[in-house]
Amino acid sequence: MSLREPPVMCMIHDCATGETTERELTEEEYAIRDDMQADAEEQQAIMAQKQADAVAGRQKLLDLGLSEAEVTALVGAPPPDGASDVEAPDPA
Amino acid sequence: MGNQQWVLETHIPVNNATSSITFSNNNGQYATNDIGGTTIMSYTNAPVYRIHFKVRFLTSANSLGSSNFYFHGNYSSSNDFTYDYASANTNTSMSPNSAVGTSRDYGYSSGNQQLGYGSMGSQFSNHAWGTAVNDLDGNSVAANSRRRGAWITGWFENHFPDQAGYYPWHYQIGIVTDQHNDNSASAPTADWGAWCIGAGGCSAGPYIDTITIGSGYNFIGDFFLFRGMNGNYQANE
Repeated sequence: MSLREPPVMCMIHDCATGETTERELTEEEYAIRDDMQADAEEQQAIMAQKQADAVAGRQKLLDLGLSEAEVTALVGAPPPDGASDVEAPDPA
Repeated sequence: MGNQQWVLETHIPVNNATSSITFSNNNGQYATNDIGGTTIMSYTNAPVYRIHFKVRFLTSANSLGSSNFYFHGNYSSSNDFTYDYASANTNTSMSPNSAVGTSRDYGYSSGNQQLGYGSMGSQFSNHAWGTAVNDLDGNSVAANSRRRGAWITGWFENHFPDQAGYYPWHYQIGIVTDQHNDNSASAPTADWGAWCIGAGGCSAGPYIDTITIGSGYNFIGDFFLFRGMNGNYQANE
């Protein structure tokens, strides 16, 4: 019986025999995995906030009357525009 | 071709999603020369371990967190990844003459070497070319299909013996992908890729008869373990 559904597996390859075995994670390994995913979600939220702050801050500088070049000199270049996708170019 | 120093010791194809893979008994395999002579790949005979790989993390999270791509040798303790230059928190945008948000990542006495900041998830769905496409045989291929995701590619290398040297790991990984990897519906975004280059070590080792690579997210991929030997012991025909 699995500890979780669906079970999360890991692989062990024995170089001496060439055999590969699979087993489900242990309770301890599941706990470590949960911690890692929680860390990732925290990082995701931090990054999203940083991006939002950068966009808002840049706009406030522009609203103060600074030129694009002046803002870029102060805080760096804005995120680059997305390149046209050759498989689905922008509609004319 | 004459006998050579490098041996492809083994290959682990990971077609079914898994959370970690382990190369075990790395020193129990033999190199074979062109007349059938064998040499065991011990620490002394084959001191260099190099793993080349490609990997995809089966998650839509584009920010994995540092610990969500890791590896270690025999000891999952006392690992220091001390000289590690990575893109932003996990990913960055790059255009000619501009790489935004690069940062240093490091840790001491960790359970593993951590490369998550150089990685990204691969299950993103908002490709500009549509949520589903048909292949040449007319089969619908979903946006988050394995056939459409971006690979993280790279290598790790370690060498033995240097028991007093704490920094034998060297590594480099990277991924570049569609601008919609953050699952936003509109372009542009800054999330185009991630990369990491650095070195680390383990003060509890560095023994590497076992090497484990894992993540908090399931992954698929291909992992090749090469060994560098201290003589020409292998016929690579």
